[in-house]
Amino acid sequence: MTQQALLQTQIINKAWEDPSFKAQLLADPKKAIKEALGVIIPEHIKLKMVEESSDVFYLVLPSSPSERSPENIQTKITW
Amino acid sequence: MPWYKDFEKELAQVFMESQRIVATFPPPLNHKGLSYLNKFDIHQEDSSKNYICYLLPFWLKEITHLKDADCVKLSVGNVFAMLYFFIQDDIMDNKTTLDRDQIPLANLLHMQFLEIYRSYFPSDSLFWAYFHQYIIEWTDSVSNEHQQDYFRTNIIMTARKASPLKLSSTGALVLSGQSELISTLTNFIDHVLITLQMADDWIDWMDDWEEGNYNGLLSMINEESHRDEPLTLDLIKNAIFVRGVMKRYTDIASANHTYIQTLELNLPYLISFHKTLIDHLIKDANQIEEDKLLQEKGGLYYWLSKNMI
Repeated sequence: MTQQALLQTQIINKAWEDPSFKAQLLADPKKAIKEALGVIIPEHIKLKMVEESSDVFYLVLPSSPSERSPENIQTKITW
Repeated sequence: MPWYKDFEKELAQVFMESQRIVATFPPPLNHKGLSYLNKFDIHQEDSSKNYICYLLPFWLKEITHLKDADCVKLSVGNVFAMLYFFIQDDIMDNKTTLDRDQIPLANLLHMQFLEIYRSYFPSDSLFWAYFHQYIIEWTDSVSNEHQQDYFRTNIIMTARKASPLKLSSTGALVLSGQSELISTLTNFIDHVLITLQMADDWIDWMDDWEEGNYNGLLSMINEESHRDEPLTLDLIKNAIFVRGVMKRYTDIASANHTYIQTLELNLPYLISFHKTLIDHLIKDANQIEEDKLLQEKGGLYYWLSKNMI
């Protein structure tokens, strides 16, 4: 499993097992993740937490990769 | 990059000799010429580096066995031809900041190119028939690329914008008494030039879209869009970052690499140069696809992938 997948799994499993962590996560997810896992998500990123139930699901639409600047991708080379 | 590293000394000679000749131009064209030449001098940090233009005669030594001095002269001729044709491009693109002295400068550059090549090829040489052909190819390509949509309809024509480059390769073969190889070598070089143009079009697509210039990548995106209206920026970005057009674009360049190796010419440097172009296109296409797959998993997942060691 990739490191980032592992991290998400750790967050979810910890929240399932530990009601106080789950409460922290719902209240302030960035702070909870920082204290539990040492990962610091920067100020400019807003992280929102939602909890599904057995009959309420969330489909998250990520932002489109087309919003990325092409200069970030293009290899700088001269020929 | 052995195709560059192995010829650093020779490249220095090419630029020294080019500077020596341009310095003899009547003022102010000597200063303006040196300034213009500097923009392409590989030793200058922010210069445009047209390696194939400067190095092609050296890369062909495996088959031509020409002396280094002749390769330097043919390369200097190439440099002057390149500068001349770049000025033609600037004039055609109607750059309003163009200094009117660029036109007499272009004429001096063209004259110097001709003096070098006339010193090797008398008026009845076979070389001049190819000179005629390559200039015709260049004019056809630059005049008609938009209307004919050459990337889609006749891709070899996208290479013909750089046909004057073949003056040095054909000249080298005529000099070494191997005219029978001209057809195969020009076919080889045309395919390398297609890929070179494709690499440039990938880097330049945004500028070309804004300025209305012809661009092979935009042509491919336009064809795939099945629309009659002009391409919008959103359409282009979706094609690149969501629909993976770079994979199909890169496949064309990769096919060129397979093809040139079937031509069985012993040209390891030229093949290596072409591989460099392909590798960079593939790297970018793969990066786009990887980023898309990460993005699909959500913003947090994407951010973690870019920021966690």
